[in-house]
Amino acid sequence: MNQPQGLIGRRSFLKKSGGSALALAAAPATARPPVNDRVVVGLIGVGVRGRDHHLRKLLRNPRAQIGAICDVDRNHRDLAAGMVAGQTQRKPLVYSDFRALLERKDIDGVVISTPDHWHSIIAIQAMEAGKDVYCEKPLSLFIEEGRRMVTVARQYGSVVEVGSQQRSDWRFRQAVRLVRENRVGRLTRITAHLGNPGTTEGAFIHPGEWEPVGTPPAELDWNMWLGPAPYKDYSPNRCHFEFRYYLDHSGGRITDWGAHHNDIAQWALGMDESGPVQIDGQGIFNKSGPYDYAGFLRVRYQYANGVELLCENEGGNGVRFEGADGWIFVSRMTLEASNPEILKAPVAGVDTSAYDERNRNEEIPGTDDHHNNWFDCIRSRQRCVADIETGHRSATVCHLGNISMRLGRALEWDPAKEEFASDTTANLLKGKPFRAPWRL
Amino acid sequence: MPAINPAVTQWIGQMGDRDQVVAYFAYHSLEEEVFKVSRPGQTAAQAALAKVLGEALTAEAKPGAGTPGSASFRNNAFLTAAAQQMPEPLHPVRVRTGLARLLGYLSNETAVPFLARALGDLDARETARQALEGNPSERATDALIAALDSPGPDFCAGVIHSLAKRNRAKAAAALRKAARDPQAEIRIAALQGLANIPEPAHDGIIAEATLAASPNERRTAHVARARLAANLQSAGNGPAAERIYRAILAADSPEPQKKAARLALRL
Repeated sequence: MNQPQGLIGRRSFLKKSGGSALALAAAPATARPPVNDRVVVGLIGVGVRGRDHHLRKLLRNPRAQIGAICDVDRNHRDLAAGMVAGQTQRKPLVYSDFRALLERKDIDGVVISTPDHWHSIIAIQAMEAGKDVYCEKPLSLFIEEGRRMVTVARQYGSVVEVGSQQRSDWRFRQAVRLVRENRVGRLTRITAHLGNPGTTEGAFIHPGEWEPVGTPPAELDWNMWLGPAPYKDYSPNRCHFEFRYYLDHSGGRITDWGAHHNDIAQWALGMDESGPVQIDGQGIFNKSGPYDYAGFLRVRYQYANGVELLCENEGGNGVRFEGADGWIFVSRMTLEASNPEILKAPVAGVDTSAYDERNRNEEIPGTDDHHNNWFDCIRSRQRCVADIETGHRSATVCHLGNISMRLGRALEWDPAKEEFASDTTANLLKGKPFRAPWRL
Repeated sequence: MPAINPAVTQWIGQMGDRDQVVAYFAYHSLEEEVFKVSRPGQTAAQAALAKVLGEALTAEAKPGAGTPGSASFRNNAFLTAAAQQMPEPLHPVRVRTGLARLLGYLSNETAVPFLARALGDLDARETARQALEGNPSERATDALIAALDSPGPDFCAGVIHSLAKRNRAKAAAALRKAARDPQAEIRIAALQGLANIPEPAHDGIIAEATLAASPNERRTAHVARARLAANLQSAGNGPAAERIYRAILAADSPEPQKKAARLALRL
């Protein structure tokens, strides 16, 4: 059987990375590599995700040096700069416009944690400026953006890691390998449960509260926050974390959690450079606003090999693989199977103990390994475990679901051409014009 | 003519309601209606709905009737003066931008004249421009080219980006003309646009801009040059792409573009 792309055993992982991962696991946090061996990172978007997740982790990672901070919200910039200064006794340079950060010759790579509607523009300009990129998931807001990002990455030889860090979590790696080794027999169905983690509950996000539109606070550059998105008057519950509930800025639950779990489904199916051929989405969109994404969703995807992927925001949170001989369920907390023997049988080339040790105390398992995989690949110029093409294809699965739900009809998709069959409006929804003067 | 859902007219009016819930409900009900009608094969129903939406988009108020709530975006003297020269629209700006967006989803020939007219509506023109961007009609191309004479470099830059997605001779000609525009924002947008149209002759214009006085223009031109080469390669014109990549290596190009050239030439 072919090895899943990017799914390498720990020993070969260490061999490929010159033993650096092992050294990292054993080294105290203060043992920093020589300055020239560190990756100088600029963080673009330092809200909750960029600051409390990436920055906090990277400040403790001896392979990273924080070179610059950028955000359109002064409060975010100040908080992030304070964290850097507190940890390193050096104030980083701060920017409100990512284009100024990209002009810095000393920045090797950028971590993009902005709202989704900004991902493609920033990533493309970063790659054109010679930077490597770590881009939060979902990679894109629209299918056409993702394809453009892949094209630019390949043209510039950029190393891009998409923030689907479950690919660096041993549980998901193990589950994917077991499925691909047919431990559940011939695979028939995958269910991506996008409900609440740690429960068996669904996630039916309430539709939000209307707030009067008003003047943006002085610390926020609202026009720049909107960027290429359609103009809207400022409202506090449109920006920062809540952006993900508006289709002008994100895709709702299916691109938030779906970008993780559908990504794992694609990986297990060996579809990292392809996708489903039929999509039938049922969504219930709230009719009173302000959130306009599908509060309830159930999307059935059919792959050319006959496997069905069901994506729904019910049944807890995780991915269930069903085959002729049993099932496997994997989440960030558990790896279970219909028969425990399925999990006990050794899997060639995977020593999960070290991953387990490193992942054990992480709030979001796999994150440190995911950052380190990016750093390894920046050095080796190899493709990352969550390479841009796979990130694009996984995001596409989510976007296809949203398009089918919005149009209220089943769709036929050609994953090679990335086109819908005979549906003008569906094809229009693959992209969206940007607000001037922004462009892809 | 197929029957239109009788609620459509009511929803159009409600999109401008001061109650945000009512306005939201109306817009999303219309969007659902548009998506329902957009099923393949329902050409006549799509045209009928586009006509209703388009007429509302361009409807004018009776003289002296006043316009409810339409001044919300007119917060500068230039726009206010310009708006006073325009016919008073019947519907407030929120309704007009919503209608233009919905017409973009229908993207048929019927929608074009309404959207073309809305390009002259200072409040709704940006949404109308975006709606025309995905419309394959030849008349949509003509309307966008005509809009290049409009005031406002940001708006014109958007028009250029829309034209750059239309691989047609007259769109390319308009972009080549825009590349000589006295306003830098427009020249820069034109350089980016020309790079998207795989025409070898565009390299001369872009290469010239790599020597421009403005650093921003030079930087844009260098990136555009590499993008043009990539697009030529994708379009099957390998020799033209190779010539550009070799020129990039020979010139004083930034390192990322030289790296792209080396990768493409496998050097």
